[in-house]
Amino acid sequence: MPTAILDLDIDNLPEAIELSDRYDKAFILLRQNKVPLGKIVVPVIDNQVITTEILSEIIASTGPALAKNMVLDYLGIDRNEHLSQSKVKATIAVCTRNRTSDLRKCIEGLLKLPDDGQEILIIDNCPSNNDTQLLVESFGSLRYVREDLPGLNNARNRALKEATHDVVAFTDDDAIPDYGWLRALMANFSGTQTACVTGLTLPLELETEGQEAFESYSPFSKGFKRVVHSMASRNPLATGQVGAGANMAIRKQIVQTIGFFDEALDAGTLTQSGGDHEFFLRILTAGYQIIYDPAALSWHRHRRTMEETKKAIWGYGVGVYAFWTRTLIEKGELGIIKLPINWFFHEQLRALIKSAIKWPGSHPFTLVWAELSGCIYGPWAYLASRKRAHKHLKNG
Amino acid sequence: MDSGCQIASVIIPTHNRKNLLQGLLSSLAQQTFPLQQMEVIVVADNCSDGTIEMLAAYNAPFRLEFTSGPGMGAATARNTGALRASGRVLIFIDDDIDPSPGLVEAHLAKHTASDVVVIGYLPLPLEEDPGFYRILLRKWWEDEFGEFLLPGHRFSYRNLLSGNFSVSRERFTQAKGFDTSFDCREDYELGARLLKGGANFVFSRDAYGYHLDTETDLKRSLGRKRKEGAADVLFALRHPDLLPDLQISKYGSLSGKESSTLSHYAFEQNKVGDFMAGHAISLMHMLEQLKLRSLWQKLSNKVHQYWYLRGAADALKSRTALDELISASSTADIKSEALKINLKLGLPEAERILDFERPSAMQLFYGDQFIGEVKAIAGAEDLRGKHLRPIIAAKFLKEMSEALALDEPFKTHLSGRLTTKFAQEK
Repeated sequence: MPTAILDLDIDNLPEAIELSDRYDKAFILLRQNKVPLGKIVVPVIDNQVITTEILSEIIASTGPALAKNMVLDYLGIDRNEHLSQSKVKATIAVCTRNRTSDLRKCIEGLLKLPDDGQEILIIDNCPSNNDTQLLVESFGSLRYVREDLPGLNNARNRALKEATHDVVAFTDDDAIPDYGWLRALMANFSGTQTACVTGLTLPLELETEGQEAFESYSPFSKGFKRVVHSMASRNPLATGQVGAGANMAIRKQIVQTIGFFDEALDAGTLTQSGGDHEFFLRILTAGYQIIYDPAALSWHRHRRTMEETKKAIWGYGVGVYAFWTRTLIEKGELGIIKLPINWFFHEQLRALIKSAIKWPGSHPFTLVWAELSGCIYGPWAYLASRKRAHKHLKNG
Repeated sequence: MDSGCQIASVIIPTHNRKNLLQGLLSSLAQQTFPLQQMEVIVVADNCSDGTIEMLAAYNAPFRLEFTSGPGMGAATARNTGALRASGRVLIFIDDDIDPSPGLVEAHLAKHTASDVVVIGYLPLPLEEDPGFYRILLRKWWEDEFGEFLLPGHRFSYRNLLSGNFSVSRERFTQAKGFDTSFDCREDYELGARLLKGGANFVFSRDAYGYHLDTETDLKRSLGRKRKEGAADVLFALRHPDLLPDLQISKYGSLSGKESSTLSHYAFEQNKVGDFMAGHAISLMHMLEQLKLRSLWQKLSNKVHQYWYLRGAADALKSRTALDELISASSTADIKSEALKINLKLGLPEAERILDFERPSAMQLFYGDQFIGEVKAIAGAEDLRGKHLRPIIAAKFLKEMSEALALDEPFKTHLSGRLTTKFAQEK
């Protein structure tokens, strides 16, 4: 059965929340003064969630954050600083292809953000019709740019080149940013060491088996604590936990040092994904920081059918191995070799066995297998995709 | 242009960097600060690249003075410049800095009292594909400045960077300027004396200038490390109380096996040590080719430590002398009595007490509840009122929340109840 998504403020919890009878669970985001503090998943009983009955779950999930806020209030330290306007201006970029119904919702969300002088850029990547252009023009205040070279990374690079402002905030076309999203991203760009900021991405809906499977297998969320990632704090080659391209902002200037996104990677190419994580790797190995800030919240509509979810998970497997292959052969990073070994022996193999014997709480075998077979294809996908990208470049 | 007394004197020591200096002067001509109220004093130290001729012909929109001398070193050059200065505030800028247009104005804006020392920001320009050494150098450098920006940062003598800082002429003269017996670390040494004299260090990000240093590489860095080792010996003699903060204090014969091995080679077997250190560099090149970052970094630390100790050995000659230096310093008087502060007096009152007492350490209480202790840090400024709240937020969140939860139940709304319950359950 589907899961209801609830968004509650801890200072104004209703006593009970009535829900439609199709839900048997509720995914609850808990916030205090607009800032996400934690999430819980609780059962829906008699079509409702009674908050006094879930207090221990609430405390377990948000207790440390609430205690911190209490001390900050006592000290008179402004804990909502990140909600105020930053000095650095942003260009918001949405890279899209033939998905106007999602894009419309995304744009409507973007237009509700507080106006801090940001520019909104829609990059239409190799479209098969002019629907996106018509949609964008119907909103008036947006910039439409058409990028005919196929591939998400080509679209991202075009956004970096077209952007008027110093920072480019990327959102997927199937995501809806929260009101405080952009300000929270931008507030982290005060130091010159920060080249990129990523945010918290939560499911917009969990209405189907496919969406539930995706959220359980490969959630975008990296937790509710702000983390500063650098080569001092982590292996700079392992960037899976740093964030994702669906919710990230990049200081444009960094491309002068580390170069652009690799055109051979990510959606729209044989490699399916990995372009964001490969870029993060180059940021960290160049000595810069990436900050993950959960205050930068965005809601992502996961793919609805199980078939689509399976394809997405397969695509992540392809993408990870594709970008590792790239890192090994183009950057000569010998240290990358231990990542697939660790991943396979510490996680994948265990998950595969558990799912094969249907261990309670294990993931569906088809998803685990999809990811693994994606991994096997990844290196070849990269080599073939690189050949194609070079050809495009020559002809382009 | 000639007026008797300027407000700001910019002092630039230089050595054979004619082009960089010319760029610096033209950036100074673009300052937002009124040019008729500033003077620039260039001290050319043993220049043979036409610097003097360039300066003589330079048509500056501000009062420009220059003088030259034979190989005196940066400390002496800066003192020479300061002697000639007439400004109320002295701004020291190195010759490889490209000041931002607002640099002079930003320095002056912070000089609200004569005890202020302003440390300016020195970002490094972006580089295309730098090697491991430059990547880490940049990271270290920027992390240092990042620390200065933290709200509870206690400034240390090591935070005084001579490339871009300002001090009132009065203070600088009182302190008798830089100690010219140092040929590096002279800025740290001045920082130590200024802090001990009660100076108030502040950081200004707006007073920034790009540090156009493209020359520092691994080889130079190791050479510099050797000089630092020698300088730290002198430093420990001048400031025995700061020894615990100096790298050299970790290499006595009672130190760990690894430090002991390094100092054995540096002091007693330096031919073998130099040979191994040389080969370690070749190995580092190989590790960089293979992009084996953490191994490279470990080896780099070792080689740097070795050359630092070689410098210390240059100055001390024997390990016995090193041990004597360390034991002599450890008996030096270190002020570390912790002041007890009860936060129940209210935060403003607690801050007032800190500003009045300026303790080097404190113990925090909330009523009877012990919150935590802030220890004395060798070489850091004494505590101020402004440090209190950020220190509690950074170090004592848990203890503070428990104390508050026991004392002030936030009974009015749910989150108060939840927080209290959480803290009590802990």
